[in-house]
Parts: sequence; structure tokens; C-alpha cells
Amino acid sequence: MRYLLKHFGLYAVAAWASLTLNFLLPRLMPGDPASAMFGRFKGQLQPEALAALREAFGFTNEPLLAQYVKYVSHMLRGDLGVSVAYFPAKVTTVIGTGLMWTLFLTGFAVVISFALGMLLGVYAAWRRGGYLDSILPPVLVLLGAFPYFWLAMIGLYFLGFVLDWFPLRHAYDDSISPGANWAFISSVIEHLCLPSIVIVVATLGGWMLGMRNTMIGVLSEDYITMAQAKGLSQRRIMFNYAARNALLPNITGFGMALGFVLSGSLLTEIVFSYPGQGYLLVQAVRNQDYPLMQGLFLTITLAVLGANWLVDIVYVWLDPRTRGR
Amino acid sequence: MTERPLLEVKDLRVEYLTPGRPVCAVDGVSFSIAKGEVLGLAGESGSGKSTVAQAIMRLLQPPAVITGGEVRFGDDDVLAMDEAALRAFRWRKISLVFQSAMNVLNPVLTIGEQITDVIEAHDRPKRGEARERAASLLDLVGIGSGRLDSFPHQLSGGMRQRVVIAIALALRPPLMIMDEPTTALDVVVQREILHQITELKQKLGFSILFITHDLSLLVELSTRIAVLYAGKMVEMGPALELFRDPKHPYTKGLLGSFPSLTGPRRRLTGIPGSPPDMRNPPSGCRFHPRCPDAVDRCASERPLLREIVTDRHAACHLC
Amino acid sequence: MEAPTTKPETAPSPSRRGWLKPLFRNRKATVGAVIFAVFVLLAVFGPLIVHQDPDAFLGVPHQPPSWQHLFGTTGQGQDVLVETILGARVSLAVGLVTGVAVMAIGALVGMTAGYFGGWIDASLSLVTNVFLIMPGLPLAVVLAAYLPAGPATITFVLVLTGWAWNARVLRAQVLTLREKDFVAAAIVSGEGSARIIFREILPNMTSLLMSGFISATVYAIGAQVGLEFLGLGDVSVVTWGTNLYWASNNAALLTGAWWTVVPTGASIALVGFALVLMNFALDEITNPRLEADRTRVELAKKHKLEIGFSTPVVRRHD
Repeated sequence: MRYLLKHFGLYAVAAWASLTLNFLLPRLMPGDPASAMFGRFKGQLQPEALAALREAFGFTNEPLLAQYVKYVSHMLRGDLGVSVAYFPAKVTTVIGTGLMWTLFLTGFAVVISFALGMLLGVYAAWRRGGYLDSILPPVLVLLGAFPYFWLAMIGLYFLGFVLDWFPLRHAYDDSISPGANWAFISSVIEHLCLPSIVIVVATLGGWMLGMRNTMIGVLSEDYITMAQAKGLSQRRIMFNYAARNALLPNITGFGMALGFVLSGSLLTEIVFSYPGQGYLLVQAVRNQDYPLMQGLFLTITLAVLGANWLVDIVYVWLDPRTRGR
Repeated sequence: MTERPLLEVKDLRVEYLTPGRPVCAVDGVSFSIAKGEVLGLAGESGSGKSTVAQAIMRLLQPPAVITGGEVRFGDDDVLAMDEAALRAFRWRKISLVFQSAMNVLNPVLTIGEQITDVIEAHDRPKRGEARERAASLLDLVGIGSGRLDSFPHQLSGGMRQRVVIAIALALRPPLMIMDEPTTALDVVVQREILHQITELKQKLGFSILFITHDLSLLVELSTRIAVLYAGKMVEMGPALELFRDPKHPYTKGLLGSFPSLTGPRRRLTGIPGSPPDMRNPPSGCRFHPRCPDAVDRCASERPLLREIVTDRHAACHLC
Repeated sequence: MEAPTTKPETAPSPSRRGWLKPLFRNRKATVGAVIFAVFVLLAVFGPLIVHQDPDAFLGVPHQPPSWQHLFGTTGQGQDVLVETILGARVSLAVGLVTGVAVMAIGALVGMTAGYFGGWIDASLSLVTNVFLIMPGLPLAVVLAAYLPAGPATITFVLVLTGWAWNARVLRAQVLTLREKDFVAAAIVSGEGSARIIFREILPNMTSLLMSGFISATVYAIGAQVGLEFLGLGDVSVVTWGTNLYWASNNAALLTGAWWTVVPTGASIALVGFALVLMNFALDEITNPRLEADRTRVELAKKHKLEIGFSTPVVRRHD
């Protein structure tokens, strides 16, 4: 349990750091921080609304610490301000629409990529010198060297535009209204394919190589020799003895790579105009919508931290040594 | 001896392939183990004793290859077995007690699972039977059956070694190979484990191939002792006789290297030099560079293992 | 198998120190180095050879590749080949500068934390882990949005989001080295900390520093392109990232103009691949276990033996 608590402490500090960074950034710019953030609002807001905004972000004439306290209390209440681009929608509302789609796409793609990568890695290491071991890793590494979103563009072009196998944009067909009906669900699945294929292809190499390498290390351990001596089936040795141990460092690696993978998938979303956080991010940048940008930064960071914590729980479940005596 | 020996090893030869010339780790080793017998195999590190143990069960991985000899267990020709036959043969006929118990136990499985999985792999136990057998095995080796669901890291070194012994006994094999089972333990625990092993042997009657570098351990435990040097057997004979009257200079050197707690004070002699590089072993008798009694013949002519007196074998020109 | 060595651990294994010479002989490293060198030359000399104002309206927009324009034209009518060559300069420069900075900062923080231990280590490690765990892209976006657009901002932002990984790796290495006998000997003989760090520990970390530099450069080139694709770079500066930004803006793919996108992407991938190859080679050379493992697999293949099952019985007739 100490393992989990220690990590949770780290996540708490990281969350606090992100919060504080959001607070400090506009104040580090030369000039009036409020105008840096709300410059675009000029002429759009009533004075009272503007005052409320300033209040939410702590832009008062009080000393810095008081501003900080005000700011934090607003954040903790879930008040992330108002968006410039989607005025007068609140930032939380705007983010809410995209969050579900991002979690859906990235979660789905990442789980598939990881699972597939682990399996391929196990087989590659088990049959050293075989095809899986010699051909697939360099090919996947080469594919992974391309930026995700470039792969997305190519995928969009060839598989979507030229071959017309998959739809080109959005999460579902615009003409279908969302609901628990088959037409909607199948449309969602259809639109999910291409972006997730891109993410899987871009990340598969890394997972596979990682698992292959840890497996090779594990296969030289004495408990594998003992398992062979016991006359156990190859399947049992491969999975219960080798893979279960080789998996552990990869789970940790998975947690650490989540932030990176999410960044890539956000960019992929943009290429496919998938209505997730990535799309919102682009809009925010284009419109200099600082409240939205900062809100996205906060939610994405918190999401990654949360996911990391889940990964930690899985790790403790898988490795009995972390549970202490 | 009318009864056929349990294990017969004839002229076993194991090589390690390299980019250059292969290195011979075990060069024509022969011995046999009868039912109920304890054969002690002694030698320094690099003598090839662990290689012999793993070669008998064909556990070595490439670049190690068996290039010659015979390994017969009863009617079975181990060297001719295919994968399936080997898998059925292993653990049921011969089991192995490894050296460092922490390293040979799977860290993510409970010790109960590590006993039951070998039972389930070989027998067809009824529901719950495997677990019952595992529990009684743990009792047999002196660990409470309450430990069935513990993980290896939760046990002390001595307990882990007992677990390894329990696993080795799971299928009641006629022969157990013990490769330095006590080396990684402290002296007090060593004693306990050895005592446990002796007790179990008396109770269950299995044969043991006991491998160690510590000759003093073998004297109490073994029926016969074989001494290995640089991949070759240099002496073999009944334990007590070998201890009292070693024939080969290497055995004499080994025995002279251990202080005894009783008896008159003796100078510790030790053996000068270090074991040879197996990529380029010495010509003639492999021990001759370190032998205090070496003569010219020793450097040019390889001595063969021959019977000096009844049931005493040695490979030395001077015996 | 072989005679056991009785030499004490007086110096670290040679593989960690002498990696430069074997690197030249390694095939992966040479291939990688050649590819990378080609791009560097292109970046340095390209703009001198291709004398063109990149902003000038040249030809008809979105022309497919032809003899006039080898890679076709962009949405603004510019020659794609020219844009790609010109873009190399800033993209590689930002990548390399970031790589050096990340290596330096990572070394400073990681080695200080690893060597001194105690509360210095605890606090530096906390900072490192916080930066490590925060997702890079959102942080980079927020930072870059507040700063003036341009390659300098991008470099700064990338260094800030990328230094932590390197620091962690180097710290781990210093921790291992610190336990070695030769360091203990230096401490006991009264050498000062700075001297020990620079004269005893650092020389044994050069391969790790090099591989960290390479990894950071790969990351920087990719991440930079990502940020510029979002529109955070200075869109008037020609880089690989801004090329893709313009291509995306002009809906290049939806009009079928794949040639505006492919050369840039291929260049980025080739450079990344070349650097990764060099890193692999470096890893092979300095990691003795990998080397031993490779030899083993090759030997098994040569003699047609299968690994992973039982000891093969190979009878020789001699």
C-alpha cells in the first residue's frame, strides 16, 4: 500500500503544480495579466460579467497570496471560467463535450495497442530468431518514427479519401442523432476505426519491443529453467512464468508513456476532426482562448494523472511483492 | 550387482558452441546411481558438475549441446527423447533441487500454485487433490501448510529451500538431483536442511545425486563420491574410503583444504593455482600444472580413469 | 564453463568506456549516421543552393509532381521540394539544440541527485517526477501560447517538457556507478566531489549521455512538428512543421494533394529512424547482455538449433 500512497503523493503534487502554473502564467507576462487573458473579450462582455471573470481567475488588486486562494477555491468548485471562442459557454461545459470522445478513442486504441504489443512481444521472444523476432520489430519501429498525425494524414488520404474504406471526419455520421440505436452505434464504430488504427500502428512498435526485451531478460532467469525441469507445458511456462513477470516493467512503462501517447492521439484527433480535446485545443490556440487552453491543460493533466493511478493499482494487483509482507 | 542401476551415464560429452572452436565443458564423464544410493559429485566451480546435472535432464540451452555419450534411466534413453517424452519424463523420474531458492521460485505465483502446477501437469488429480497433496508436502518438509498461499518473498531463505525440496518431492521421483542446495544459506540453516534431506531420504527411499564443492558435506551424506576436475572425472569410490584414503592428488588437495574441528592440528594445504581455462585446457593430465607430484609423463599423456583397487577408480599415472 | 576470474571490480567494464570505435564498425550505426549526415548537409547547404524566396508565388497551386516541380507545389503555389529542403534547417537546428540542452540539464539534475543523495536527491527527484508525469503537449501548448511565436519559443518549451526523462535515466546510472569500487576508492583517498564526478563518474557515462542526446533530438524534432502543426510556431518561418500546418490548412489531403504532405513526413521519419538506428547500435555495443544474447541467437541459427526447449543432441564423428 505504501507503493500506492507514495505515487498518489506524487500525483497530488503534480496536480497542484499544474494548478499553480495556470495561476502564474498570465501573471508572468508583461503588462496587465487580465488583458493578456481576456483581451479578446473586449466589447463582448458586460462590465459585471467581466468583473465576475476577473474574480474567477483571481485578478484582483489584492496581494498575490489572496489572489491565489481565490483562484484555487474557484478551481476546486469546478469553475474554470468562460471560454472566449465559445462565449458565453463555460469552459467546463465546452471541455465536457470533448472529454468523452477523447477518452473513448484514446482508451480504446491504447488498450488494443498495448494488448497486441504485449502478445506479439511474448511470441517474438519465445521464438527467438523467428519471423516475428527479426522482421516485425524494425518495421514497427520505422512506422513509429513517423509523427502520429502524419500517419493520420496518410491514413486519411489513402484509406479514407482514395479507397473510401472509412469515413473522413467526426465521431459519427452527422445525419444520425445520438441514441442507443444500432445505426448510431455502428456509425460510431465506423468512425472509430481509422483514428484508432493510426494510433495503434504508431505505438505498437514500442510496446512490442519493450515486451520482447523484458521477456528475453526473464527467459534467462533460473525460475524458467526450473519450470522447464518440472515438465510443465510450454504454454504454462510462456504465460504464467515468463510473460507474467516480463509484463511488470511494461505496465510501469505504460503509465509513463500515457502522457506521450495522449499527446499523439490529440493531434490525430485534429486530423480527423474527431470532436475530442484535440479539436478543442486547436480552436483554443487559433482563437487565443486562454481560459479554454488552460482549462484543457488542467483537465488533460488530471486525466493522465488519474489514469496513472489506475495503472498503479493494476500493478499492485499483478506484483505481489509490492503488497509487503 | 544384479539389479540394474537407476541412472547410467556413459561417456557424456557436453560442448558450448562459440564463434570459434567449441569449448568442451564435460568430457567423457561416466557414472551410475543405484536405487537408494547417494552419489556425491564434488568439484570446484568450472569443473562441469552443474553442467552434468542439467545435461542429464537436457535442460541446457544452446549454445550448449550434447555431443556424445549415453544417459539411461531404467529403460529410457534420455538423449533420444523428443519434447513430449522429455516433458513426461522430467520431474516424474528425476527432479532437481536448485541452488538459490529465491531465484528458482516464480515471484508472482504462490508457493502452493508452484507445487500444484507440477502435480496437475503430470497426474490427473481430482478436484482439490492437488492442493491437499501440496499441503501434506509442506508438512513433510517442516513448513506449516498454512503457507500454501504465501509468496516466495514472504519466506525466509531456509524456508524457501524447503519449499524447493517439497516441490522436488511432489511426484515422489526415484532420483533427486541436488545442485548445491545449501551453498546460499548460512551455516546453521545449512545443517537443518541437510538434516531434513537425510530424514526424507530415510523415510521415502529415493536416490540422490548430490552436487557440491564442499567435500566435507558429502562424507556424511553419500554412499559414494565422484570427483570432477576440468570436465573430467578424476576419482570415484565409496565415501568413507575416499575420505580416509584419497588416491588422486586433486582429491588429496581438496580434503587438505578443509580444516577439521576434531583430530590433530594439520596444516591447511590448499591447491596452488586456479582451474584451467576450458577454451585451452592443459595437455596430458589437466591437473598437472597444479599437481605437487607431477612428472614428465603427466604433461604429455592423458591418464584414463581405471580401477586401482576394488571399487576405487582414479585417473592418475601415479596411482 | 570458463575459469572463474578473481579480479576485483576495479574498473567498469570496457564496454561502457570504449564505445566510439566499435560504433564506427557497426552497420546499424553507419547507416544511421549516413542518413543523418545527408539531412544535415541538406539543411546547411540546401538554402544556399536553392536560391529562392520561399514566399514568392511561384506556380499553380497544388500541382502534382512533374519535371518542373519534382515534388509538386503547395497550396500557395510554392515548390514542395524547395520548402522541404528549406524547412530542414530550422527543424534540425531546433532538434539538435533541444537535444543538447536536454542532455545538459538532465545530466546536471540527474547526476547531482544521484551522487549527493539525501534531501538533495529527494527534492530533485520530486521535481523530475512531476515534470515527467505531466503530459507534454498540453503543457507545451499553454506555455507556447503565452510566449512570442517562433523557433526559440519552441526550443524553450520543448526543453522544459523534455528534460525530465533524461535526468531520471542519468540519475539511475550515477546511483549504480557510485556503488562501484573505484568510486569508493576515490572517496576514501579524499578526492573532492566535483573531481570525482568529472574524472571518475562522467567518463563512464558518455555512452549514456550520447544516447540521451540522440533520444532527445528525436523527441524534439517530432514534438516541434506537432506544436507547429497546431499553429503555435511562427507560421512565416519555413520549417517542416509549418509546412504541414499550411498543408493541413489548405485541406491538401481532401483535395488529393498528397505530395504536400509526404516529403516532409518522410524526411521527419527518415531522420528519426536514422537517429534511432544509431541509438540501437550504441545500446548493442554498451550492453554486454544484449551482445551476448545476439551471439547466442546467431550461433543457434548457424547450427540450426532451436532455443527454448531442450538441450540438443548433436553427435559428431571424430
